[in-house]
Amino acid sequence: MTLVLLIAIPVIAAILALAVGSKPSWSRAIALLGALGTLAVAGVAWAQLLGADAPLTYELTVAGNGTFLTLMADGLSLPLVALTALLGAVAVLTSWDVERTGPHMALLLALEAAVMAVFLAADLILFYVAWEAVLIPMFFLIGGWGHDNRRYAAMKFFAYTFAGSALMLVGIVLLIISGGAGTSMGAAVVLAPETQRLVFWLLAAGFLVKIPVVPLHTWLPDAHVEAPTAGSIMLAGVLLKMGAYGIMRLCIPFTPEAFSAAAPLLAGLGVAGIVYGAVMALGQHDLKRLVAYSSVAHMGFVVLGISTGAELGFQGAVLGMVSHGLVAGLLFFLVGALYERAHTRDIGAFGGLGETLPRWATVFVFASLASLGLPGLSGFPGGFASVVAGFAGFGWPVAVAGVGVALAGAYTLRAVRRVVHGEPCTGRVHADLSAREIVAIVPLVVLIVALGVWPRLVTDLAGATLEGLAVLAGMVG
Amino acid sequence: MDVMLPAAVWVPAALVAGAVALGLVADGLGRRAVAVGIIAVGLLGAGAAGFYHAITGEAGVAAGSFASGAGFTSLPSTGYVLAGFAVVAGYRRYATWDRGPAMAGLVALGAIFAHALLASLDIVVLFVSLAGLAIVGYSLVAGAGTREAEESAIRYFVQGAVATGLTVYGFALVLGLGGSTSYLEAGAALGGAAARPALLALGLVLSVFAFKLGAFPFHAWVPDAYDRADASSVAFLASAPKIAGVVALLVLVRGTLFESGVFAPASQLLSALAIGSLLFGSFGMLRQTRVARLLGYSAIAQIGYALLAIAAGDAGVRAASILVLTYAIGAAGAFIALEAVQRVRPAWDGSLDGLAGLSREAPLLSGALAAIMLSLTGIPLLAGFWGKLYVFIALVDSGMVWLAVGAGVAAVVSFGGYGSVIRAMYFGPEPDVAAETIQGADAGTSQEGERGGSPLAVTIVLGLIIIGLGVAPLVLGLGRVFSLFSL
Repeated sequence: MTLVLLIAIPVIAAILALAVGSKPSWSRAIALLGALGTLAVAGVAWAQLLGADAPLTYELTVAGNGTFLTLMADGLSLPLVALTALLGAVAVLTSWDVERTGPHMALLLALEAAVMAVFLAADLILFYVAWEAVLIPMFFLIGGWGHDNRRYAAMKFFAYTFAGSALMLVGIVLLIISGGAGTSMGAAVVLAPETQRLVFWLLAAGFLVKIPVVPLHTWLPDAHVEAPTAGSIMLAGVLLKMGAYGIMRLCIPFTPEAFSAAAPLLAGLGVAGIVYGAVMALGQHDLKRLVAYSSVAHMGFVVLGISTGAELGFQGAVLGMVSHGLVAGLLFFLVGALYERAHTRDIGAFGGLGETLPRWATVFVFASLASLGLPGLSGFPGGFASVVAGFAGFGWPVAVAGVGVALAGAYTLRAVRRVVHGEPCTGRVHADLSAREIVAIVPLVVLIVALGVWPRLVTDLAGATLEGLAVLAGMVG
Repeated sequence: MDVMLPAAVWVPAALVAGAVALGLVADGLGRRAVAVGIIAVGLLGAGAAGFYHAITGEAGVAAGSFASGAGFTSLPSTGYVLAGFAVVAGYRRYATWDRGPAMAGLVALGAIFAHALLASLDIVVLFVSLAGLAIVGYSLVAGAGTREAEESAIRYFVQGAVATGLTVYGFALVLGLGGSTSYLEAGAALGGAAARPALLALGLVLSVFAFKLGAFPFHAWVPDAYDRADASSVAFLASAPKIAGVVALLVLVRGTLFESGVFAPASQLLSALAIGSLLFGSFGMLRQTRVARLLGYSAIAQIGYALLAIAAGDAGVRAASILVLTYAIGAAGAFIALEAVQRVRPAWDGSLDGLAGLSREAPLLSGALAAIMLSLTGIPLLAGFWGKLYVFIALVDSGMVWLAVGAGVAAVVSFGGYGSVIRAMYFGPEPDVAAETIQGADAGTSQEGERGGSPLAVTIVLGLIIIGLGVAPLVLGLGRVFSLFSL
């Protein structure tokens, strides 16, 4: 029942927030209550899973007929569910003063519900339905509340990810029909090698666009930059994880041989993302675009971790996903807060914010350090585990990722130097972070530290599931 | 042979025919509003009666000429309901226009012909209903009364005359080779006939259907006609006859006349028509500046999916019927929404740009139209997704995986068209057309809220049906929701 509430609460809150749309303060209150309620339920589910030795499940039974509503939460999905719930609440707090509050909050909560359904789905059809359902609110959020170029960015976002998921749907249908074991994601299916390869690549088309890996990433900078702050937080924090989650949830169990065959290529895509994202981030003048490209690099580590097919790599991937969700969420929050005040994101327009906005600058430096992977903060353990597992799996070529790590230091510190230090800019910036904003970011800051110091916070929960997944991936060859 | 028609066949048709007769009497007495009202009630009543029979009745074949029961009753009933909705949506126009009751009557007659076409098991019935539907089509397009509409109708008519010629040749061949007008009897004989003449008959019949359904290569009339006829009439033309045509073709190719092994090439031929329709339809949508033309190209693309399903063999039977059902509801809703847009913005010129800012002026209408557009794209949680899913399942099941991939790509391309409607309504104006369009829009804006009248109400109802049909299968299972429509 807990699992149903994770989807139902945001849906109901979304409908209510829309219904009282003419009273913005009511919409805000309902949205916040809904988001916090979901977060509380996610906490309960976390406790339940820690105390249980099997995944949490839920199945709707309608007399005499199977339905698609089967849900499941295990060590792989629950960290992402909790991340979604947390960032959902942060996103609501971010968009407190947005215009047309009712529809905005409703879309945000609908987005949260859809992402929850992706992570909780235990049925292939439900998984796809939820996957596509995520597009609709995000499309309207970018298009309706985005910045100058929003019309183009919204269409591009939808078209790219829909292109990936249309292929993914064919893959899912092929999997259901050639597997012949119904639509459950838990079904034990052994596909012929030829079919496996086809299914794998069709599914991967959807997942790799979403992550995104390098040649398929061009929708990301536009969407991230044009989206309103809450949209960017959800997009970077949660939506990108759907792709990596999909590979681990569907590709590895259903097409293990094809996955193993493709692993070196995936690792290459991961490393390419690490380097490419860092190089591009180095060249950006727009602070938001810089964070967007750094996401490509961070997701590269995640892809590298997954491609190893080893337990350590998987742990690195899950840690990396949770960490990037927290860090990117925090960075987009900060950039959004700065833009609200200064109406520009041009790095060159700022300077000396350490003096004029001390609180903002402190958190920004903190988030930047977390982003470049400073040991003791959340970015380190995931990236480290992924690279170590990558060396074990693929040997010296993974060293190329080191270039990306070095560049990450460069682009992060360059941004910090330009924005925080130097001559104070005058007249642009008025007020430091407000109490509401601080409330929103404190949980992120705390968790970034906690995860950096004690990564077992997540790996204890995820361990058993990832071990099982590594066995599946390792049985081949 | 049992000569009594089952109630499921004659009751709805008789209700509509009676309503049309009464309506024409009322029109003759000068009571146009009453006339249109009677016809609308007759259509909706026929739909209700039909659904009652579909739920309670059994499948059967009547007088050797009509199929009834399950999908053969529920799908034409859907046609009656959508035709009724079209008349309700056009009520104000029809009731205040001297030609109005006749237009409503034509829609109603068209719905009867569509029922006959859908349930037909006999070549004579097929020919009469196709010809009847064609005449209704030309008249509805011409009936809009503008010079452009008349020109479109003439072009439509000339192309249609060629198609009718082909029909005659095709049916003559079938009759000559098969020796009977009944599908089942003629089909048995055709299967044993010389392959080439039999295939020629198939080819001729397929081209007739391609024209009727607006499929490649006989699709050119569709965008013109849809753009120039009045929106309520198109709401009918784009829905009930499409359901009927697809099911009739399905029955011919997968069950009766052209079923035997001689006609194995039918699948390749249908696939070719389908691919052409998908290409021309989906890419055609991208360059449109007028909403009705865009929906015309969308109709071509959607028929492509239906033809793919028919090509996929037995697995596609269900896919074709569900796809065309969900498409027809969406298409009717879309054109009725255009009627509502004209109510909200009387000066609207039918252009995409003219929809700018509609979401603030008419939030309910925009929301319903956006849901319809996403449903036509095939996005989940909306009815259209299940239609597309069934088509994909049918294609993969019959080993046509790459066609499924192609169909998926076509869906993505089509979003360029459907999405542009949403973009126009929701994402503000294009920077370069902003000024004058917005001024025009503001001039027509009222502060009293949405004024869409009956078309707005019908659009919302159809939008809710689309969402309901999209969500219900998740909870209740696919089989249960669509079982009423199985053939």
